[in-house]
Amino acid sequence: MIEFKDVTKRYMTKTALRDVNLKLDKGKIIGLVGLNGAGKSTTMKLIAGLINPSKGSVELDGEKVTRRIASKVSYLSELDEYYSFYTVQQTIDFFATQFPDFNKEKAEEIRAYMNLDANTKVKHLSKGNRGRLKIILTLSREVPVLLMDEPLSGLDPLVRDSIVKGLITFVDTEKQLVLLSTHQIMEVEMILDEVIAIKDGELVDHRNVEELRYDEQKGILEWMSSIYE
Amino acid sequence: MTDTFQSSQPIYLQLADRLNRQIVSGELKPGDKLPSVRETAVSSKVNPNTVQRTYRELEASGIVESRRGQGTFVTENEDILLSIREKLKQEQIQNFIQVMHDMGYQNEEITKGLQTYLEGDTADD
Amino acid sequence: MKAWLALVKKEFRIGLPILLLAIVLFLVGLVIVTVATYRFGYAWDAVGIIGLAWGGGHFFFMAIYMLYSLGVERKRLHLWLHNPMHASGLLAAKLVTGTIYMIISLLIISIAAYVGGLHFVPFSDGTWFRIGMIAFLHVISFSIDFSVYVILAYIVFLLLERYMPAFLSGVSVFIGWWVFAYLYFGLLADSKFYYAITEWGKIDLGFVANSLQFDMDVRQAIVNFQGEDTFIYAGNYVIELITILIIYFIASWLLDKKVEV
Repeated sequence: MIEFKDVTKRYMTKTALRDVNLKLDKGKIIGLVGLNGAGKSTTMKLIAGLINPSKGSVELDGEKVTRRIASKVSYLSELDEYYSFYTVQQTIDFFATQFPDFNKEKAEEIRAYMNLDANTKVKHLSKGNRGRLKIILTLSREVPVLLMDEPLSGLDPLVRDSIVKGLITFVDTEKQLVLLSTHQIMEVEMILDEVIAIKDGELVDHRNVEELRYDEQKGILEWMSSIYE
Repeated sequence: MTDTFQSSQPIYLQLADRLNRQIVSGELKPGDKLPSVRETAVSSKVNPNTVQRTYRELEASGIVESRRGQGTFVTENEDILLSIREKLKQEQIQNFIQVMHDMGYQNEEITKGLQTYLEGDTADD
Repeated sequence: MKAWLALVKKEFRIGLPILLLAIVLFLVGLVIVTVATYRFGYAWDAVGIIGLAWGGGHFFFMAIYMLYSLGVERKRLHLWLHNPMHASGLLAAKLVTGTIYMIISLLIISIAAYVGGLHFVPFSDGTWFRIGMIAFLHVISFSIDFSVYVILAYIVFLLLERYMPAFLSGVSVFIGWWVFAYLYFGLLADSKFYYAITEWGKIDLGFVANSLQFDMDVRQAIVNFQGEDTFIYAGNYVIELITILIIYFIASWLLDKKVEV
């Protein structure tokens, strides 16, 4: 479904990603793990078409990815900048107008589930609640690909827990591909189908998590520390 | 079912194990409907794909049956239930004996110990 | 179309501070001149003058509006650009809202300019209105025209910003802007070729004041209109229109394909 062919992404002074080849299939929840600066966000943005590879190509269903792949991809940035003058409800409504696949009932359901007040202005939301809003906006779209860049980072354990539960409840694991980057591995350990490790811009390994447990009796954390040591 | 799984063993097997025990213990009765894949996924906080796989495994072993459009049910086939019951028992005993042997206990010691323990247990009741 | 209209609604909200700023500055200016000139008895004339001056200043309205609005998006590019809509649609939503705001602001100013202007206008009412309309339309179209160049400059700035510090990117664009202005106005616009393609379709506008002379002292203000029979070439307008369409297309293309988040 998503394919990276020899993808390199260079910035002025550094190479963020080097010769990455990657294939991701639909119907999976895939974790992207690695230290800060390893190239996780770069990978996400490449799939969202928000940056272009310096070399190689990124394709979705055989089609070269551009910015307008947004019609098939729901992207959650690690930044949580929204239009601060909108309330939660207005932000949701605005998103609903911009994406024909946005399911407003689902948004309302997730909002209620996440316990987020609809009438609070975005600029008055706490970090945890902005995190919740991001989840609502991303999961409410009925698209083949969901990209979530650090959905758990900087949030307290209760919020992280509700987000993980939200993922299990609201992602359609038969049709949707979820790629999420995180360094909170403990929280997502049980919901990942596959895990990809990147280190210094290079793809180190891409594993099916259950096979990893079966073949090597290793959890993701142990596997990661064996890669990073 | 909210207690955690071991991260170093396949989750689908641990979950299957858990359901088998619930069936053998009678927590889930013959003919009972299992929670839907998503319900189980949410309550045990695991990937729905994993639950799907668990259900497939259980179905293959015959202990549950999926009825088209209705869901997954615990089998009412006594033979299968009995054999699963027997299998779990064997597994537990095997594990136990393995551990005892590893620690150097002899069979007689183990049997005696078990007897005393079980008698004490009943006396306590 | 529905998505675009919703985007327009959002743009109205983003750009609102610029409209309010334009109106507030105008009102403040109005109050200051009125108070300053009231006791000398030519407050109305002053109102007219400030109306004309501020109205003329709207030549820059769209450029400032676009810089502000694009500046707001720069902080959340991942949000603005994560949209299946073509970049030309994203930019058009901003241009349309800016234009509507500019017209609102100009209408308010026009009232002042018109009412005040009546006090020193040597023309019959009809002429005054006609000149006003020509000025009105020119300020609007020049302002939009100018802002399209500014959009391109800003997008080039966003592009360069990925490869150098923001400050350097800004300086580069600033230098590029003047190089372009020199090439365009200094060389191209003065060339025989340019005259050849633009000087056709002569339209006579009749008498139009093309300069105002203010002569003010503490007791009075004398305003002299200096004007002549004026004509314009339709060619100039058509060529400029084609130019900014090309510029707009380039800007949209860059935003779609090259700008990175």
